[in-house]
Amino acid sequence: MIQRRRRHPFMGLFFGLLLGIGLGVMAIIYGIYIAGPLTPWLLVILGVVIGLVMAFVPRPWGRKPRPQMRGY
Amino acid sequence: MRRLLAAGVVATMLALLLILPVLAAELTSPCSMEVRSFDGLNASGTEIDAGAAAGPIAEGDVGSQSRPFKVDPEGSIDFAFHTGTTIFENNHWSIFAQGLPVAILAGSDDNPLDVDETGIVSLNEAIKALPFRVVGVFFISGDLYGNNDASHCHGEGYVQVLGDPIGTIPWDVAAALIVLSGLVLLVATPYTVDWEVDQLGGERLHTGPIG
Repeated sequence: MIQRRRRHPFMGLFFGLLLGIGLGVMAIIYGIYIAGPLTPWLLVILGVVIGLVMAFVPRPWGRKPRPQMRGY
Repeated sequence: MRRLLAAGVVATMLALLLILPVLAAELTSPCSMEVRSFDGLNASGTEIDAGAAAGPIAEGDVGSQSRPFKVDPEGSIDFAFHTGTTIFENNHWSIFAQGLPVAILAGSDDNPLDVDETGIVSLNEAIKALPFRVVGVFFISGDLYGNNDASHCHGEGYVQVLGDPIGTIPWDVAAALIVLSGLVLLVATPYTVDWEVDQLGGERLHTGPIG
């Protein structure tokens, strides 16, 4: 058995961007400008960063243990 | 190390969001402006909001981040714009939204006769031109250049389009994007560690098995 690490950088980037756009639009709708007029754009960048972090940082849940091998 | 880097990036972003100074709204000299909004067309009906701007707009004043200028999407705005004692000849002006470099409105006047410009803007027509209803607080900025660009005024401030955002297309799309992309990021995107059979496993000595 070999350990296979699966990363999804493009998926993370894409869905992070969508998350950021959603957050940015909500910031405009509810008038949340905690960082001034740039806030919606910063939230878009934040979403992208979250997506990339999710793609490269191992999640603590759902990790499969190494399977038992016969004869070892 | 990667976790440390990722955590650093996230912490930096959060710090940027929380620490960045709030940029003040303003209308630079020599310009000044008074505005009043109504819930009816042609400055009729009930007055919604009113304010004046000349120089920096302090927090809490109309047009600032904490107290945006309120407008009714079905109403109108009565405005008076002054350029002090300077006549802006051969002028051109542009209005921007959310800091985007593409102007939402622009115009020019080669031969203005005085230092005042007044008018009534019906928001109803402008809002109807959009493909969907818009509600929210928008950062609006604008520039006026005149006298072969020797004279310049810059203004920026916050405008709130009143209404219930829930049910509008932007709200629905944003909510769907947050929920769906959040779920995908949690379930499908994370870096996972898995185990699988080594396709090259089971190899033996080139000279054959022992015994």
